Amino acid sequence: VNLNVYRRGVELLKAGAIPAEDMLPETAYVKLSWVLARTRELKEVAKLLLTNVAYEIDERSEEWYYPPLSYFEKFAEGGAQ
Amino acid sequence: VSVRVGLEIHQMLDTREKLFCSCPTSLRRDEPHSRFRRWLRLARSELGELDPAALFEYMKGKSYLYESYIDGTCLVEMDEEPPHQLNQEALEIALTACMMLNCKVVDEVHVMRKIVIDGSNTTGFQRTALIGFDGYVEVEGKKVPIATVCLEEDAARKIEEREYEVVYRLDRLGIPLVEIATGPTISSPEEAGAVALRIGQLLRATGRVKRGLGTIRQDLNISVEGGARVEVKGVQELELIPKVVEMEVRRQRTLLEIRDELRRRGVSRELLEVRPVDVTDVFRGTSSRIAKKALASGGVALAIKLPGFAHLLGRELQPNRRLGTEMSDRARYWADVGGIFHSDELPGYGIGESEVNEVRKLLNCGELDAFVLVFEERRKAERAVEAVIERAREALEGVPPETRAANPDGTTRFMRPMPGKARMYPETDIRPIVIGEELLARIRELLPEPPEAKYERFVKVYGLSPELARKLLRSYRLDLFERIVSTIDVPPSLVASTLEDTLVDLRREGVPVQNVTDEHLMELFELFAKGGLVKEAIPLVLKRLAEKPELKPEEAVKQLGLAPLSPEEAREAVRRILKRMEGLIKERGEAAFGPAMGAVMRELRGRVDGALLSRIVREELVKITGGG
Repeated sequence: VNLNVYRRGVELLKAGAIPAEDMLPETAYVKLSWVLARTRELKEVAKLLLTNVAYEIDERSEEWYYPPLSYFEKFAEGGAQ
Repeated sequence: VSVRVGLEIHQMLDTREKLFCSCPTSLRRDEPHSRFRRWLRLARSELGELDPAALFEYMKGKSYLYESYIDGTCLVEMDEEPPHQLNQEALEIALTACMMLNCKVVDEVHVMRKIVIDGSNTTGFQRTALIGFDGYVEVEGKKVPIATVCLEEDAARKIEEREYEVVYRLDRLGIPLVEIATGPTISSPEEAGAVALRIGQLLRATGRVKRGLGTIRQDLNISVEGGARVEVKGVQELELIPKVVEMEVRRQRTLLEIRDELRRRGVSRELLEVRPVDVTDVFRGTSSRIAKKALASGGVALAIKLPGFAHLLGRELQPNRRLGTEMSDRARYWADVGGIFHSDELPGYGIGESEVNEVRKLLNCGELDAFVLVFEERRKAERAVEAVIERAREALEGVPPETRAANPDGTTRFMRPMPGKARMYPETDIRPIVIGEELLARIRELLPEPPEAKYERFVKVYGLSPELARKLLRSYRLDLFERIVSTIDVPPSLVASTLEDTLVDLRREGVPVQNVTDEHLMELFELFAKGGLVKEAIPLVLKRLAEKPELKPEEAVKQLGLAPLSPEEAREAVRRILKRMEGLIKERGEAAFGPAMGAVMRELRGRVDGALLSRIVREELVKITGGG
């Protein structure tokens, strides 16, 4: 995520939110629990949370992560391979 | 008449990632993995203005087809995801360039959006940020001001242009560039070339810019006294710069002469309030192929009188480019017509004298009046004629300010009108970046060796000739040279002359030396250092490697039978050869050295060091002639 794009994001940053890149919310939640168990030092929390441990963060979002509708229609028709 | 030239140099940076995302910065030749189509939609800028050039592009109704790679482009290039943080590596290279160019550095970097309307950016704008300003570069004792140093993202690469669509490839979009703009104080074609060379050298000295064709582009701003600023885009080769300046100055001067002549003839804007006349009937039975074809498909023949323009449309501005050519370029741009005919080139192109006279009569042309003819579908023809009149009006003012493109021969052609001024506005997705003193101090400490110091070192420490040192400094193999001499124990002069002389000679002979890789050369010199080949074998081995790049140098040496002989083996071979020509040697004595050496060379070339061989031949010769 880029929290600089909209005003709401900027306010969140000001309030101290840590933008969690493209982690899935559930993953980020579990990871945060894990991080907080190790440290409560805010700077360290942010650093650990944003360290790519097991490919949960992807620096590049590729086109095929978001296939077109037609891709899903194949499954709806029962013609999935 | 004085000339003022300013340069704008765009150099691609060799960073690991792109400027606003983490994609690689390499250009690709393989088939793209995916394609998507976009249309340009027109919106008012943040300031509520409509860019006239943008409006025009929009009216054309073209669509853009973008080619992408799964592992080479991401959602940022597609404009489906906001930009990431500005690439720190690129910022540091730009700061390094600023320091080498004696620039002041901004306290805060503000990324801006520059409206781009040709579809070459998926966003419709190019991101650019001012990094440094108010510097200078010294060229031949003169200080040339550097106005600005900016960090920019490169545009997508145009692959193909069809009638209703333009195809772009996204591999180049987002690669970081530094854009360096000099002040408009350059006053001659030669100086323009020298300044461009110097700036290019300084950038290459950072060791962090891309090399090769297309990685550096020069734009030139040229104006002669009394003329206007004309921007010439896309000069890729350094050698062409003086030529382009010279040609453009000539064009502008001739345009000023034409303006003066028009004024002498009393031509005014009011006189140019002319209307086109439909002269289709004149060409019903024409033998002009172009006219016939246009009329057969429902087109018309429109003619427009240009009062007082006789003999001026045909005046040469640049080799083979006339005022008529400029009008034709404009008609092509604004009306998408194939071309126009003007009275200075008629009769001709199948259009006969009687047809010309008839048109003149219909237009009521006097002795000093010219005319322009267009054969096209009516709407296009009308637009074309309008563009021609507009260009004629501009001729009254002298030089129209415009953006032109360089042709390979140094002439220039109309590209587009100068873009509107209000085309920059802030990039709101990226926060300003504060440039700290700490960062500046670190960069200052790591500043690369300037070219002069390099030259000194090459001559004094490496013992290169001044000529060879200069060649190396201009060469894109400069880095490779330094890498070889710092890691392998070989004479630097041999490396330099191999890289700069031998390879160039081979290329002139038509050998495809572009196939010779840096790895080939590294391994070749490693082999040489181990005694795996002699100096004289290098050109032969390089030739083989160019023809068969899949070989390693060692294999090439083996294939060519160039494994070096030991001194003993060499002496043995020399004895054998001289034995065959014993008669001649006895008869001629020492004068037989030439023919003897020739015979030996024919058999042993590339297998024994030349100096050693010559010594052996001399010694063996003496043995046969019995000394003295």
